[in-house]
Amino acid sequence: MSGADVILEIKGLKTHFFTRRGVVKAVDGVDFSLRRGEVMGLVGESGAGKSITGFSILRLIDEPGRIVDGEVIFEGRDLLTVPEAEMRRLRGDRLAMVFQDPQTSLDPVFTVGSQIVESLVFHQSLSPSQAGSRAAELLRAVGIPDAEKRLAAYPHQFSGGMRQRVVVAIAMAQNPALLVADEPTTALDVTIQAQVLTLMRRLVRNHGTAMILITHNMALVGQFCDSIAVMYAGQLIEHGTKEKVIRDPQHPYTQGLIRSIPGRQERCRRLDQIPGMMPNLIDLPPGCPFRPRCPSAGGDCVQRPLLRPVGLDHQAACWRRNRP
Amino acid sequence: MFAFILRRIYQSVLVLFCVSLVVFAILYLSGDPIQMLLPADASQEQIDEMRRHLGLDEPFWAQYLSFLRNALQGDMGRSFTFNQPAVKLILERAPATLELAVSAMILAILLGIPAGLFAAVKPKSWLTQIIMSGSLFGISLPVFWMGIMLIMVFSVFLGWLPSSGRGQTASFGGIQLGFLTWDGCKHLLMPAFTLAIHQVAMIVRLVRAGMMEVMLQDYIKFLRAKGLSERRVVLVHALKNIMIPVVTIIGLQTGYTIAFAIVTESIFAWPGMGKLVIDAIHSLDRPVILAYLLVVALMFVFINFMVDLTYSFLDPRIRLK
Ligand SMILES: Nc1ncnc2c1ncn2[C@@H]1O[C@H](COP(=O)(O)OP(=O)(O)OP(=O)(O)O)[C@@H](O)[C@H]1O
Ligand SMILES: [Mg+2]
Repeated sequence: MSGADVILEIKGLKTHFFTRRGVVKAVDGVDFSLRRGEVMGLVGESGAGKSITGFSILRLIDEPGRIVDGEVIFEGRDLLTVPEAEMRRLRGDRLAMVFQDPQTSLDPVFTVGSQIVESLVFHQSLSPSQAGSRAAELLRAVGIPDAEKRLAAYPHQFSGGMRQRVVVAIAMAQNPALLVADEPTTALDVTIQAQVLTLMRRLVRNHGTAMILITHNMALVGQFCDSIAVMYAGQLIEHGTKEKVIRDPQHPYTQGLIRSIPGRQERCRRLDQIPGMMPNLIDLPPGCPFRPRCPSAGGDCVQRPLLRPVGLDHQAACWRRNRP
Repeated sequence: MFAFILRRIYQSVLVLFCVSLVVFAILYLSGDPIQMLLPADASQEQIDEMRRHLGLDEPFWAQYLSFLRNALQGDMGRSFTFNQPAVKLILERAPATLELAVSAMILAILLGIPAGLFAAVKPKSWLTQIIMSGSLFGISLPVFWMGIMLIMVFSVFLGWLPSSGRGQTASFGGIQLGFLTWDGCKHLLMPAFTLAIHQVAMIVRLVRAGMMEVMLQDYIKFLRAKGLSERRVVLVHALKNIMIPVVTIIGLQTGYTIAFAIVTESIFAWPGMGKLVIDAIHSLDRPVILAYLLVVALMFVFINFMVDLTYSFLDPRIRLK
């Protein structure tokens, strides 16, 4: 996974939260890269650090968090070193983000139109009337009927699915090179989920946008992604093409995740659960973070395993499974 | 909208009616003004004559009904002590009090909102420490003490500002206003500031608490993800989102500053309604007290109406019904 068309390369990214109770290592040494137009699923259980990874790419980490180490090389530049003013020009332009809950991603006291227009005015210096017609165009492109009229409506006058379409329209307004979608459909009901994701995939394909799709839902990943990265306790523990990771998972945690997808081959079997809980990220013990829950842990697991190749386009971080 | 206004007018009339009834009853029970008005050695005939003249010999309901009948025509009776229409006495002094209260609130808004915003956005700055401890002082220090301290410093020691009265006023649309002249401004500054201190402190705390909550919302993060500048995020989006509670408090506090201007007015010998009403209470000058309370109630009703109107501009989810 390298070459000229790599648009994002993350190396040794560490984002820590310096809380009163201790240092929370929410992201602790993450490496991956993304090609133009690639859709990568980022999965892992709650608190694994998926959202913080996404926010770190846009450098939107709030106090008491800080990106303490690493490189985020996007279109040839390390985003962690560009000045804030330049970063603002990139956000919403080359880099975009969609959040989990459409109920709360739009400012409730401004019209939908003005929230689209303000970023068009900032990024493209359009005149208000040009921006207005472009905004209507964007709404039409995400399948909102009666777009001109809807510009004057407020977020609460839209249904959840429609609101998420608006959010997607804003995110895609400048044809970004990278879209980070943080559980974009979790708050929607199932039929709407499929519609919104299909829409997103279509837009992303048409514009050649790479997407990081953060989700809990392994089934969605199988349906919509080219590659899969599995995160556990602030680290990537497996990364590879969709086929490799789903057909031939190497890390015991990934194997557990795949087994817990409902409705796979063995229909009648009870849903498998991974026993135990993810460890507290404050003062994580050294060694493999999955060790306490791992069925095949051994003596060598007291050392932290790094992500290393286990096959073509497939990496895992496990001492037990690593095959050259 | 029209229905909303009609309903508010109807409600206001109801409120004013209740206020008048309650106040009238309390005044009726609270003593006999005749004893205050006549010398202690007045004869029984004189007392009876006076009582008849003022209509105080009639039963409670008759007195109230005749008061109400006159009040509906804008006549709240004549002051027992000044022998002038009570409404006229109140309205003559109302501009002074309103000028003081409104200046105090404007001062409070101009100081309080920026200070609160700053304290929320830069929680670790030394200036925030000063703002927050200052606001704690502002909430806890008594108004009269602050007023006296200001007079000590700025009038007695430094001699910069006058300590009493309204100074020169200029007429604007028939109303005498002090802030139109330089001398009037100098007279207005200290009393307005004294009256504003408490309000500044309240607004600072409210704005800061509101901002700190709003800044954690997803939509703020999404606005940043769109590339907007921090200034636009804070001053346009976050600020509008916290304005509902702020406007509510500003409205309520404007009412209170009008009502509680009395203390400040006595410290600075400000010729407003407050002084008149204190005297009226001492002499049980019923018509003046009633007229004052009804005028203040009317102002409260009006302010609340304005606040409700503002809501619908600030938050599209609020519909006026
Ligand atoms: N402001 C903060 N202060 C302290 N710790 C934080 C803060 N924000 C996040 N964390 C910690 O960072 C870790 C990773 O959080 P993150 O939101 O990335 O999880 P996630 O994988 O997105 O989970 P979910 O699926 O629930 O969204 C969590 O354990 C959380 O406790
Ligand atoms: Mg998350």
